[in-house]
Amino acid sequence: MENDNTSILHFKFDVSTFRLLGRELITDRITALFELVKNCYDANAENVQLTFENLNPLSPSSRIIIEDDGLGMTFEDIRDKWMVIGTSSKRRSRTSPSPYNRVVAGKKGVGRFAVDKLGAKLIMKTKKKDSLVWNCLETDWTKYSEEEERQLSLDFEEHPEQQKLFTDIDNRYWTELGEKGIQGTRLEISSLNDVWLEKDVIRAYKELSKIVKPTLDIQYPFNIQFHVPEYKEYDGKVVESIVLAKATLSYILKYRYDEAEEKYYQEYLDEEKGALSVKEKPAEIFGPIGFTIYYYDQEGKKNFTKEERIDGIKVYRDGIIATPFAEYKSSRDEQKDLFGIDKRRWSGFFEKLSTRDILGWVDIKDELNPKIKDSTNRQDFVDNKEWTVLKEFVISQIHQIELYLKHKKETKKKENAEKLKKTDKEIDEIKQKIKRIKSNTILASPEVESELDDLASRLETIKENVSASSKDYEQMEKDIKQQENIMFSLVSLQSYAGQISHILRISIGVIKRSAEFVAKWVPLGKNQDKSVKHAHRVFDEMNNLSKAMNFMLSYAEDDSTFEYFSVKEAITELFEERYKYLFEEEGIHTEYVVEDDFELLYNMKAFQDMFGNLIDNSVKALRNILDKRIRCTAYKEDDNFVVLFSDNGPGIPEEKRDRIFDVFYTTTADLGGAGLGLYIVRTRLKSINGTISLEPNEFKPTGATFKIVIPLIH
Amino acid sequence: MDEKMNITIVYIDDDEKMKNDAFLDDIETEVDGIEYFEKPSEGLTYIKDHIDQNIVVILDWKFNSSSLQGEDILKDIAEISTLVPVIVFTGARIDAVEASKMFKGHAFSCVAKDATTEELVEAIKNAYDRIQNDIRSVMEKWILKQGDEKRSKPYMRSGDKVYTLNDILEAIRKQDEFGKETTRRILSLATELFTNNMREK
Repeated sequence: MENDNTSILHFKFDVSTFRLLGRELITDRITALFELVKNCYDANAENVQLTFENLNPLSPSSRIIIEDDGLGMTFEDIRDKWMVIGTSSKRRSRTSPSPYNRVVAGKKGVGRFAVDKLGAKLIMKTKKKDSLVWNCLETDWTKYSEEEERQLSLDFEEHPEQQKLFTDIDNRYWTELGEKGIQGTRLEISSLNDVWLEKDVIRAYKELSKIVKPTLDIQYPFNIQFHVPEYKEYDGKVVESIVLAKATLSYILKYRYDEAEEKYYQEYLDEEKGALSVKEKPAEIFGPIGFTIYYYDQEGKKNFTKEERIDGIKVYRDGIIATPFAEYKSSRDEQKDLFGIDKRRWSGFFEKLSTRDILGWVDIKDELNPKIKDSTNRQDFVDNKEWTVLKEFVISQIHQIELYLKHKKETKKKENAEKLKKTDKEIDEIKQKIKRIKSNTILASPEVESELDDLASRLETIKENVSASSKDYEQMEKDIKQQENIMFSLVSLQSYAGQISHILRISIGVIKRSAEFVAKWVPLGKNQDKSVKHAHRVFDEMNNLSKAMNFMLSYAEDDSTFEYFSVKEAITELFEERYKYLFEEEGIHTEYVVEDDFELLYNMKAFQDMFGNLIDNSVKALRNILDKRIRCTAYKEDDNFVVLFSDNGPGIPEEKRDRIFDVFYTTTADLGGAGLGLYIVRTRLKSINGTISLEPNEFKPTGATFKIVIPLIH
Repeated sequence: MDEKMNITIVYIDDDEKMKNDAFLDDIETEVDGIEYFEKPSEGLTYIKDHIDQNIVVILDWKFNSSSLQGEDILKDIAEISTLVPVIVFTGARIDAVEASKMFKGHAFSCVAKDATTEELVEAIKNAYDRIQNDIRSVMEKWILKQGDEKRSKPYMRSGDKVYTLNDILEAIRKQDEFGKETTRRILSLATELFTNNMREK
């Protein structure tokens, strides 16, 4: 041992560690390709050539070549940057060299790992503009793999000298003569890891089409061209920015810095009475953003070679797509809906735009929106308050467009209907004119007269046709409305299924624990009173369950027939026929006044059942009242049809008022009330956008009055 | 059950029929008391007024009658003290989003509404164990044992501030910076005392 007891030790790591790192950072080969192309962008390249050769089946001649005309590297660059794992040179400078000043896209210097993901062997040739030689480097990962295998079979404790580390492996370096003035980098990757099918190339193409924001940078363009001899459709194809020219609607929202106030203002969309305008407000907490949004109707979508290329809103940070990185899912359903655009199902099912209708991007800047950060897995943003508010902002903007489209559609419908009516009138006017000509003695002659008669009869035919199409049109409108209603009803049924399973679980829990109690204590001969109580509870709760079951069955059965019916007739039928004898038997005086009528598109029986539930409740409430009364009035008010339903029973106590529409809430359990009636009424009304509420009672001193409101256009 | 648990169950659920649920009848003799509240606000007041007792809260998650939801009530309880274990008792489907709300709100555990009494009792026992074994609860208990007068006198100094036992109690309950720091210090002190013997030998 030496006397000097200080010495230096170096960290070393083996080959498998390196590869493990790479696999963690680059998860799939599209991401790998994406990273390598981003490196070209960072090197100020204007043209990138992507060549794929002999992709299927794999052979020694299979290779991928990525060639750019960017800045290239010197020998020192290769030695001190490319060969150093985890170099941070890119992070030190946030933009690429002038005059391009591109914001550096590849943040973590993972390009080298990306190569490993694609293939085992790399020949890199790179050259600076004023250099006379190409710097060439060969890295053969297959050697590393052999080393890895060999090391696994060794016992290092016996042969430490045989342990070769990652840093010990030789990479061949040489130079080749080149011309001055030419610059660029060429990566030739062979010993490919995977077969590339046509669909993989398509994937790569699609993802690369998103790499740079699709606005044309004329001064410093960035073009990517594919060369794939095997797949003709992509051979020689230039990656285009997504088609923007044919959008149905487009809005570009900007922001502005107010020098005087020293704060940012954000533009936003605002819909009012069918007009969509751009307004301004102080920037929100996420900072000022640029927001570009394109909407495509069916006609607009035809301009896309494949419809799925319209795929919602993306986020670009300093001009480069921020996230999700090269994230591609072959099934649309699995694709990430960053802003939750497609999740909004709760209301107005038909007016909602989906990611298939809109295309756009949110422009953020590191400097102005520092709180919008990528999450570490690079698949999403950090879920903080700023991101939440930004999401809300994006959704609210889409909603404004939805409102605008809805208004437009309605206006158009009205216009069309009016045009048809007008045509009818015009034909009548022409006929009048013909009559006048006929009666004009100077002009009239037998020939003219017969021509005019012919004209008049043809006009008559046209008129008939017009009025027939007008009727067809009305019928079609009705049919569409009907389909929409049925769909809406189904959607509400879905949320209803969620509620029902919630209450069933509660009910089952009650039964389970009561039964558990009885089973536990009865054999021990203890807690007898309580056991009896819980045995009854099991019975009562089971009754509730079967009532709920019947209700679900009725729902399943009676939604089959939707039709227009007269609300007046439906109510009259209830009072004059269905409940007539019950009222007589119970001695209840009824009074119903239906002032206006209204054609409702719904299932008539289901509609009547709602009132059946109210009547049942009233009958129970009136059981101890001497002078029993039920009153029902119906009328139009603004855009609604209103029904008031009252009885002069004891009324609903103040503290119960909030609860009566809850499921299984009952005040008449002793009379077999299961607490479903008002819940059913509320649920059914909901499916036609209606409401029910408790009003100040019409009868004095006591009573209960319910108000049902159904929109006339529902 | 082995021995009676020295706790009061505070059960908050706006579904009135749950007041008569069998699990309450079943555990009645195993705990000090059961308090049922249909209105969350009343339950919160009770917790506030009886904070010197051992309380385990059983909390419904979806409230029909109140604009306050389980999530909000959890927050309010944590405002009073984070040392009160709350068992969420729910019929709703719990997905990752809901679960994260519970964790964030310091919920102790979550039991489905269709659980058996046995499962509920197990959750209550676990909560009871925590009350007994958590260093913070032990400190809380010790402080509460001291007389009122003693508790309001300056007890220690940290930085520029002087703290009474009541201040310390509040800090521990709310787990603010000072509360966390104090807990940490006492834990390491306890560990040191415990291992002292060993080092001397």
